[in-house]
Amino acid sequence: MSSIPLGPLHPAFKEPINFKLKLEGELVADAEVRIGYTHRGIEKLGEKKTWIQFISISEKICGICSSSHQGCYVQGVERLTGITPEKRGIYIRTLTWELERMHSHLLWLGILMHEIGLETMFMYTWRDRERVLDVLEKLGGRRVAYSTITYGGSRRDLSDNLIQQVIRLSDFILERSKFYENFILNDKRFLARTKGIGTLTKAEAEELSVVGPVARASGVSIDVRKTGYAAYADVPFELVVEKDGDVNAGALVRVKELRVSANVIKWIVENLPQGKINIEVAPFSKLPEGEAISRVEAPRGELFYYLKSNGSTNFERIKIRTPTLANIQAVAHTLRGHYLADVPVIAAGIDPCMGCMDRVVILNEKGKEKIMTEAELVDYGIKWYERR
Amino acid sequence: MELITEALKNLFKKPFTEEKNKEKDWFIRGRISLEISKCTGCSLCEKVCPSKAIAMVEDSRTKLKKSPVIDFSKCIFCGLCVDYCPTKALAFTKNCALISYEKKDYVRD
Repeated sequence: MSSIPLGPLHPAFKEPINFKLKLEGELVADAEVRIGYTHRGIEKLGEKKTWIQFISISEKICGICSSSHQGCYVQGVERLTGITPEKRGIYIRTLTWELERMHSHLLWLGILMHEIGLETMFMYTWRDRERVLDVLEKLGGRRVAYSTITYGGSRRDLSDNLIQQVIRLSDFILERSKFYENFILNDKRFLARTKGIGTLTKAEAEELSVVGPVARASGVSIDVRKTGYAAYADVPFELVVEKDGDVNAGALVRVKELRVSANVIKWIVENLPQGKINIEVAPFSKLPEGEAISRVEAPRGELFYYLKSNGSTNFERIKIRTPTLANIQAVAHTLRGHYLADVPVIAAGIDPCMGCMDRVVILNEKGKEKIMTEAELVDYGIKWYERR
Repeated sequence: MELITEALKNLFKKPFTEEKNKEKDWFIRGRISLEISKCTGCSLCEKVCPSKAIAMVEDSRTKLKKSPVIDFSKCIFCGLCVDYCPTKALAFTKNCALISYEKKDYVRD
């Protein structure tokens, strides 16, 4: 039995994360996950800024699901203040979320292909993703941080020209998803690396409380969109559920969700209501006292915000739980019994986003408690880094 | 010889990568411009900025006591200052080319 660390900096991972692996020969006997390398203290920042300023900061939590974070936060604020957002704004907001899901799934598919070694497929998926990003750029003015969501709806309006482009994009993605599905089901090299790899059964998935496409690939039909927030109460869409629970089923779920998203964006632009797109609010308006929760189906799964206000312009507490935090334990679980060479594929299989996930850094793992002043804490931090 | 002629040609050519965004006919969140004649010096943009990129400084170009100056090395291009400007003096331009060696290039509007 030998023990090796994988990460924090490793070519297999796009972001820093550490797995402590115990190996028997080439098989993984036990795995332990350690997170906290990209902690930025964004919850604390949210408590220091006014709630309007944090609308802009919240989308910087994640570079890929930026709009989901922004939308989830704004939805929480709307619930706290008790207003009904404008219908047209809500539809455009939902359109942004679905476009984001498409670009995120295409990005993930590319990264999975890259981990397997199919570089041409990686290029294909990222080329298609660029078409989605073009639409998002025309909507929000930037490719990644589009910042389209604001209090009471959406910040940017859809032009007729853009509506035509969204319809063209929808047809394009429907066409391409056939090609991807055919590839996932039939390509020999892809099947050899993904079929039966990283299998998570339905019972395990329920026990580990995984969310999003990872849960749906294991046969758990869970989706926050079905609760009917924003425009999802009106939009007809079906839930994609697979049974196998391996990486191949995960890929299949996401490719089928591409098709669902393509249908949803087409439905939205065809049934777009007229009217205002947002509600104007004074820059330093105060929040009512109280607390609110908000849930959104981000591309990776359920995103959760808890907001607590004490009646000032700032929030007293903001708690963010991202889908990767729920899913990362499943990686450590499914790694057991697999070859070391399959570790990158399994880790990439849940679509991890370490940057979103880290909310806390554990310095003292033994569990002793101690109260420090700020100066002592700074001193301790410097010494801890020197000692490592 | 071919190499030298190509090199000499390139000396007088325009840069290839610069200012591609100006050709785009849609809304781009680029560098923020300030129309100084419209500015009233209310400093709302400074207060609303989440990244503290805007500073109110004395400016010789106007009669105002203070006018905003944006530090683009701090700016996150959220556009709150543009949204909340009461006289629409601040506006997005299509210039996204922010790369520079000098800190001072980031500071002027």
